[in-house]
Amino acid sequence: MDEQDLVLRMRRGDQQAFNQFFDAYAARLGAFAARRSALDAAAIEDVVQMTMINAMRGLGTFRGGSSLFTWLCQICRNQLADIRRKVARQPQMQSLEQMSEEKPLAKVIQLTDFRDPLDECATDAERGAVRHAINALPSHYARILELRYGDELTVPEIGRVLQISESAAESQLVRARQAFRAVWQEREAAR
Amino acid sequence: MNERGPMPESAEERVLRENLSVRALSPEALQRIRQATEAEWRANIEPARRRWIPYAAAASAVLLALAGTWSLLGRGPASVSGASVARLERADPAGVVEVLRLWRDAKLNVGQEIRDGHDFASRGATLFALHGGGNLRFAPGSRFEVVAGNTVRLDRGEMYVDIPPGSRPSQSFVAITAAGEFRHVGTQFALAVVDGETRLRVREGSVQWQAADSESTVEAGTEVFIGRDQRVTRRTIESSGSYWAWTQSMAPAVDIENRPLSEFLDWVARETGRKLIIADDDTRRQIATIRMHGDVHGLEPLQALKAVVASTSLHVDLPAGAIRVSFAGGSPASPR
Repeated sequence: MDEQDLVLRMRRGDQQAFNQFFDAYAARLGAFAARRSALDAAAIEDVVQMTMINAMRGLGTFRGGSSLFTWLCQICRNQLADIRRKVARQPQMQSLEQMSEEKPLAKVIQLTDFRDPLDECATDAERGAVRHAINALPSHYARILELRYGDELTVPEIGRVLQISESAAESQLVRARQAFRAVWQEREAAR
Repeated sequence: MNERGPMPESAEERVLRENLSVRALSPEALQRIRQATEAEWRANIEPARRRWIPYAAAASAVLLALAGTWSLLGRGPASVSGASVARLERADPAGVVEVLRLWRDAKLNVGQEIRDGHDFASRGATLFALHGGGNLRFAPGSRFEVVAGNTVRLDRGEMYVDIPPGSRPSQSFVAITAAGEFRHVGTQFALAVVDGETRLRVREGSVQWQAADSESTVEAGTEVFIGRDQRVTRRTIESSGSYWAWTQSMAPAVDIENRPLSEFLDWVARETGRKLIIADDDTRRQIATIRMHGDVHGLEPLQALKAVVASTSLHVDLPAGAIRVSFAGGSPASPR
């Protein structure tokens, strides 16, 4: 898919191009936002929606210097940063919300997976630690780990998504894993 | 101290695999996002389209013809035909438009009335106050038609109907989708239409559902999903939590100045779908006597609760599905 051409067609009002764009990126953006935050499903939906709306408003600013998805991820990061800033400005509010509103996410997982609540707490803690470690990595490392282990893409598929050769994808994946291992072991050592 | 050695690669891969997998956005959520995104996309491409028109000589003639037709067929942004049904109270920046012919969608301003016989598209979340009592809230990407003074047809998206008991004694409210008519009975309920399928969630009271060949009552705490093939699925749902979160950002403003605290707490409970629990009789008596001063406009219900709590010696817990209020020791102080 030629992304610049896709954007150009969207700017011209091509419905097929819009459909292609939305189908290719909306769900992936949802996964990206979910991995980079502890927000519940409704909040993730809001973040993705605002990201897409902002992308539509700024479609003319996409120059193709990065991939379209990287560009969307940057808008999404800004959305998440906005939310963090708002939460930071209202610390008491967060504590009131935390008592209730953050619990349903665990409850939903519990209901769908039928797992023991104690196991769930442990899983949540580990998930948070992995999120923290991933956020600490350079963005291209985080991205390739997400593609491999989150989206379960093969190395050739990763190469196609990132528009790099299969061998480049392989070596980048190895380096990303090493970087993650270093951060993770540091965290384990600190426990 | 950690006594474990370096993590074997397989373990680290397990950690990544188990923790990087996330729950996908639901098809309904994706559909809502698609509608809002598409509306925004259309709003942003139209000027680009128009820029080409002046450069085409042939198109000039089309424009002239279009302008003529426009004035003949279009109703115009200031259209005032039909009876006034509700007033726009609040809207996200994306706003709400009246859908007119020939792409003449007219953005509504806060305070503007909507009238029967007209179509509307809610690009952002919106709140309308119904004349006669109650309010309607629309999720981003919703499209609806005001059919009559008490009837709205939802074509797509999601609509939340909040009609407190006794607030429309002389007039019922009816929402219509392809799955039939949904009539409120002292109710808070949400109706969604996605790809021709209808989902009803009843939060409080009950809803009478009149389908083509049957009629039934749907009670609070129930979700009914009606597929395109008219297959019906029911399940139990909670009255608080993430299903209803979007409605809180469009909660009607509450005026607290010199109002009793008990009234405010009832409002928070109703807006959040939580049961209000007063710890003891003493607390109940104290709450009944306190009157509030100040302003919580622009705050969502739980934010408003936080603001009010901060000015009292109230203690509030939020156990699942409830708001529990007590006084944190000693006698209560008057808020602000």
